[in-house]
Amino acid sequence: MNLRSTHLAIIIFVFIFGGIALTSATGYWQTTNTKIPATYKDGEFAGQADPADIRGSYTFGDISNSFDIPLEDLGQAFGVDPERYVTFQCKELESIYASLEEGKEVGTASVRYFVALYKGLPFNLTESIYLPELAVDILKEKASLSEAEILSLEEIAVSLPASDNSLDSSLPEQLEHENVENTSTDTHETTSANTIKGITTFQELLNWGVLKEDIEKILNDKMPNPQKNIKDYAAEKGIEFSGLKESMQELVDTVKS
Amino acid sequence: MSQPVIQQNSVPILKTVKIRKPKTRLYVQLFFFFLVALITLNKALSEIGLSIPYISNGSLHAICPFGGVASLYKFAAVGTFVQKIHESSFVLMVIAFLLAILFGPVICSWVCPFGTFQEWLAKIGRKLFGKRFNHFIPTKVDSVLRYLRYVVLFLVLYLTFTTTKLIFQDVDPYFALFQFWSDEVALSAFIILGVTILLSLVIDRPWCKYACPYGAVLGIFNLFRIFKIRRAPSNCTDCKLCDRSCPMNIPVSSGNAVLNHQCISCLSCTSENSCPMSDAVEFTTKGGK
Repeated sequence: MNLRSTHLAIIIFVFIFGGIALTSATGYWQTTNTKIPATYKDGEFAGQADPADIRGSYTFGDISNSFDIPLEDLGQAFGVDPERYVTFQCKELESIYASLEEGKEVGTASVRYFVALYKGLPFNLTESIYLPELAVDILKEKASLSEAEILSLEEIAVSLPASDNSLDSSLPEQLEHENVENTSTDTHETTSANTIKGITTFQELLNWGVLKEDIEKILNDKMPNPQKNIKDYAAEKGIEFSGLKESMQELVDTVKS
Repeated sequence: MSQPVIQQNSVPILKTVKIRKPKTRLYVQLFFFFLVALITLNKALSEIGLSIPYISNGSLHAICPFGGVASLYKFAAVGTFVQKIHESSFVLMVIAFLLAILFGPVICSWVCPFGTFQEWLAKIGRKLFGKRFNHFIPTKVDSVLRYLRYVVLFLVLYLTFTTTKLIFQDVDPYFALFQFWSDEVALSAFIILGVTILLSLVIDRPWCKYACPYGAVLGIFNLFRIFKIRRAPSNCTDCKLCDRSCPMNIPVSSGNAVLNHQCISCLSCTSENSCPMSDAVEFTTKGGK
């Protein structure tokens, strides 16, 4: 059989578009991700969603649905703006955590590892994976981890670079506001910089030198996740924010003086 | 109506042939180039809530059959694909393999938009360098470099298997060309694209010849494909036009069938295109007519 250009062109079109039509009809043709991770094929966890199949395009909402992890835990672990918990895509982490020191990266692999540890699912570590300190704190609090696992987690914990506090979209405005105040007078700088506001987190209190034990004395309870806003904590516990703020501010002022 | 007669070196001319080359392949290339461009544009538009009707908004990876090849190991091991690869890549990989078993790497010469892009640059190169175009590299060096793409293939597959990431994206000039606006393109990919553009002005399809891992895979099918470029010595005047027309510098006239792993089945050498003799160089099955 002898083929000419026209024949070959027709055959190419038939093969390509025929193949696409055929697989579309059978439902196999997918150009986008279904956002449902593959499941373990065998073993104790057969049938459960496999964190290793989490893709960069998955949102925290997708992951929360597939793995039954509270959105709040996911969002807080990676320092995401609460308003974006549902729509935040894993791949966005890499650019957000870009200023980590060389060789350290927080990205989709970190989310996979976090989910595996959180749910106690098997996970094959093929590369060095780092987790934000907040994620490690949440795992310590909520996952069933051995002492050895906790120790190894502490080794891979990375703190959020200062500039990356902007993960919370409300923070840039606060920082900008503080910067404006900082440039006005030195005296004013010290008072306004360490002033508790609605969005001040427990981590900030710790950063200002307040001891965890002192905070817990005021709360009369264990300190929650450090990334939690004091105002949110007050709302959750049914405590009046203004009263709590006043007590905490006294602690801050004591440290300053 | 009398046919024009071409005489060369007093070799008796048996039959003479056509006047103009068919442009079928060019039209097919244009179709796929703009289809891929539209799909990538649509993907970008979909991220801001817009879309082009009737055009897929899949990613470039989703419509690249090499993604399927890079995912083969993971798919066999755990039934999933490497990052960014979807079922569509797998389907296209199978289609490309079926086409390659029958016709060789027609995907490279008729479909691949990056091959088309290099061919367009080659037209400029031919104008700049005339007959020297595509003949700058000494044959001995060139013949060794032709196996470089198998090294690239091995590295890409090995690194993809071990990391389960689409490592190739960071060095893929095709991705850089069609996603140049995206922050997903690594600097290394832009550099390789730049080098390929420059080389395309002196060499025909330099990426395909020396570095394309997918071309390397499809090239293997040339050894056993069903339709081959076959030369009928009895009809050949040994004018070497087939050799000169081959973008991959394959000496078509030196054998009875082209088994070279670099052949891309573009049909440039055939009697339909370059060969002045009808029935001298054809794309046929064995003994086929």
